[in-house]
Amino acid sequence: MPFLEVHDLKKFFPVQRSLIAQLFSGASAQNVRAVDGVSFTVEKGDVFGLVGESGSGKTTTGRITAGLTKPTQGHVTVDGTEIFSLKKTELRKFRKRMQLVYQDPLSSLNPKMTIGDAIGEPLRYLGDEKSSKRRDKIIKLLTDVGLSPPESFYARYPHQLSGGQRQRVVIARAISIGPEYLVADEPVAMVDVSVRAQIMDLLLTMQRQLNLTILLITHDLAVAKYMCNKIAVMYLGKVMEYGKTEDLFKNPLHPYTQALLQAVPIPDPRKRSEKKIPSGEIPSPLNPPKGCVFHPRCPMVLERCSVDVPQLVEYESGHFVACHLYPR
Amino acid sequence: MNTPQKTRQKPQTVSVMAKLVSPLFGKGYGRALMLAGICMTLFVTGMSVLAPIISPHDPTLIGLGPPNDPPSAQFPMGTDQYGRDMLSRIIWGGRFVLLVAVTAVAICLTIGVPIGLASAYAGGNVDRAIALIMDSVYAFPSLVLAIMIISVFGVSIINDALAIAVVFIPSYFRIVRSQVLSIKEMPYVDAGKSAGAGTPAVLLRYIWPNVISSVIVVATVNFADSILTTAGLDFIGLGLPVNLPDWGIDLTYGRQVLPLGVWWTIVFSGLMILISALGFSLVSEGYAERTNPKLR
Amino acid sequence: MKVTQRGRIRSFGEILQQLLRINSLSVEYRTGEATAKAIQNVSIELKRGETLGLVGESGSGKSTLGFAVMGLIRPPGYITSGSITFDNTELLTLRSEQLRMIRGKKVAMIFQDPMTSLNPVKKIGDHFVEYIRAHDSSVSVQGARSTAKTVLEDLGIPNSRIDDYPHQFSGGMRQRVMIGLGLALKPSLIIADEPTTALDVIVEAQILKQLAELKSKYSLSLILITHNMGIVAEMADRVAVMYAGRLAEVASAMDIFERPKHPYTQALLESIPNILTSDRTLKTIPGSPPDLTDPPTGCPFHPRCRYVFDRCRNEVPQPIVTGNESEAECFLLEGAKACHS
Repeated sequence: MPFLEVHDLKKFFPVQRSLIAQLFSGASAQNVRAVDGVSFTVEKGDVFGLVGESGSGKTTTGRITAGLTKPTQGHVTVDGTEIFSLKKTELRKFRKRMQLVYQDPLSSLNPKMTIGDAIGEPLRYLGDEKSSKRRDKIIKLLTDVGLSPPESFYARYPHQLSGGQRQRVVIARAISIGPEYLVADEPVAMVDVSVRAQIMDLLLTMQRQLNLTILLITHDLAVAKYMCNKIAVMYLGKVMEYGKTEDLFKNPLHPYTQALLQAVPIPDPRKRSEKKIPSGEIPSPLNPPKGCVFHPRCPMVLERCSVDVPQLVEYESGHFVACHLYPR
Repeated sequence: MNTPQKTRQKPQTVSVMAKLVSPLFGKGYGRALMLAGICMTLFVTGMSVLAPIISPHDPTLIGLGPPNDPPSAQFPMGTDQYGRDMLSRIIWGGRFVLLVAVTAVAICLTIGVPIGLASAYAGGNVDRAIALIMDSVYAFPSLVLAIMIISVFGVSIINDALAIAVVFIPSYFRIVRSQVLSIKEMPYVDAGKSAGAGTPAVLLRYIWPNVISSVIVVATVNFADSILTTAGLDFIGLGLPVNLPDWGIDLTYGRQVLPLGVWWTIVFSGLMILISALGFSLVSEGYAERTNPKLR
Repeated sequence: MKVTQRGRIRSFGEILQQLLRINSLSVEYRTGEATAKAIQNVSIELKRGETLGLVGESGSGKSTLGFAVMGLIRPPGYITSGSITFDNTELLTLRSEQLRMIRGKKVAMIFQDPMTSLNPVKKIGDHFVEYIRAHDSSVSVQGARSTAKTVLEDLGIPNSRIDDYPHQFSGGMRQRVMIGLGLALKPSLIIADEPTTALDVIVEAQILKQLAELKSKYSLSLILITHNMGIVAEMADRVAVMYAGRLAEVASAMDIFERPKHPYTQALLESIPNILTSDRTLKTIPGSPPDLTDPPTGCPFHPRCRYVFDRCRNEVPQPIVTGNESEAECFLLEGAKACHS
């Protein structure tokens, strides 16, 4: 049984309107279709990458799978349990098993709380240890994530740490109550380049040691390739393609995936090449294109693409694509 | 070895005074200012509390000396237009003014802040409605509103304090609300929630500590303003019972007699108001900055 | 004594080719309690028509270097030593009036965040008009607008949009407007500070491609400031790697990637993931970039360097020539080139 199953997930955000507009305007509110029919499965122990540009819906999807945002439609099943059919208190307890690692190490730590207290928060509310044991556990966590000497770091404040150190704190906090599932939202995007490898390796080490299942959200294909064994490519709230990392990179099926791979700057001047880059930019999620959302920019667009929404098809074992070039 | 990055930050509120004083004290100016503030506050409070003991004369006795007499050996701060001893008036003048000011600030803190926190955190249309009401009160000229309230409820310390509080609660509300609205969207609040913190814990440990410093700023302004508002009320006869000495009243009368060359009334009463307001500001700002971990 | 390219005798042809020369530049930022040495003794050259990739992380000083060339260093920033020669004119001794003439007309800068660099209440066309006429008030509004239209067309923005406001453009379009502004006065040098950092991958590729095309069309020289080694590999002829305010290494793009000499460059290249390789291990670099108000003694990279030895902790390495127009600041390279002294 897969660890995480996401089925036809949808999340629409109504556009904020002022009190006056709500009272006096006749037209109904518009919706941002952040997630518009997303389905995929994640096995236990996977490092599953959600890759996409802005507006792709990857962050919202990640938050929904961690139980932090309620979907407008669709099902999320974690280890056999449909998490959004749980009662509020049950969901709260279930959330012990799922934690989030945030993108910006500075704003994800309370500036008025010491590092030790911050790491201890999940233990405080969701843990079983008595408060006396808590401190020992936090010290151990600090050592596990490489913040030594732990006693000294315990009493410090976030602004006294470097970006990489803060991110380690965020990771320590996330694993403190022994979750099974971690959603890491752009964990290295805001960390210095020379420090990124440290953080990526830390996550992978934790994954191995604690047998975590990780959902890695990133726009950086190189990071995804390094860390993930499976990747899903998202665009404007939909999954374009997903499968094993090797398959995706060796044989990218979807024109959008191919465009992404071409567009990524390669740190090797010998590999300079003529690039075929799609024109235009990502349309607004308020008004996505009809049919296949990528069709206005697709170099291989067919007539069908502006009318029919392509469904996810299993092209080869474990490799899925939603594109009319690959019909059922 | 990991050395901590010391981010040396300038204190958030660098008042003009600090800029003037810093050449004298260098890095220690923050401490020096807070110390000064504490001294001033203690001085003013002590003087007010010990007034019955240290005051040389009865401040309400008229005709003790010639009216508008300049400072002399007998009356070190001169006399006012009724021949009352200015020194005694100054010593006594703080008691009720400070009491009213402190009570007003206390009422504002206990009412304005929780409403701001709850409303902003809850959000939605309820929050917007309350904000609308608060904005309407805020738009009222403060003195007019205070006068209205006192005319209805009568004159007393608690009523004065209440009138001032009503006028100032919207300021507390607005500052708290604007802070909470931005803080509640921060990832660390989200992290607290996903760590399992319930609403009370989120408000108490995540939101409030990051709101305190701005509340203190408002409280500072509030305090100084209430002293002046009380003076204004006194002038119309709607403040303290006429008999009691009050720096504010002396300040107002002092303005009238200044063209006559009578400087001591306005100067000493003005000085006392300045010292109390300043002392309170420095203490509260110093406190706010000490609780701001960025300066350790 | 180590001889660097500063000591070399130049041919006449070389002097003609040289567009920009930064010599022993040092910049400090003095705040109340601490002084940060943002740039220390940096020397770089740029030839006409060259693209120089200026690479570094936060705190490396790369942006500061760009600002210094533009004459935008203001207190609490101070240029404490060195010279910047542009087209044989010494920039640091110019009066502000003369500097204003150069800024924009000869050297233009494109900033990082197009969202906040454009005035939201001004139409795009008006941005151009104001900018062009600030440098030459004899140009008419119509003339400025027609220059704007030509430039914007080159960037793929239709003329009909010249009276739109910034918020009506997408992120990529706004960055194109910024580039257009940079090109409006036909400068010979453009300094682009992280021009694509705030943009999505595909738009980034579009912009970089356009930048390369415009460079040849307008005969530009380009300084590309970025932390992304991939961009540098794609666009740069030469690469300068900065670390903690010092120039760790300068070489051609090929040399930097194939034969990196400085341990920082080597370590950096080994630590960044690359989608073309199947490496499952990246070499991590311990520690983090230093605090510029309290930098390490000696070589700034020594606390993190895998080859560190005693000298590195006490002495600051000076630039050592490692090849044709290549230098690096590292004691490891001394043995090989000692014969130059």
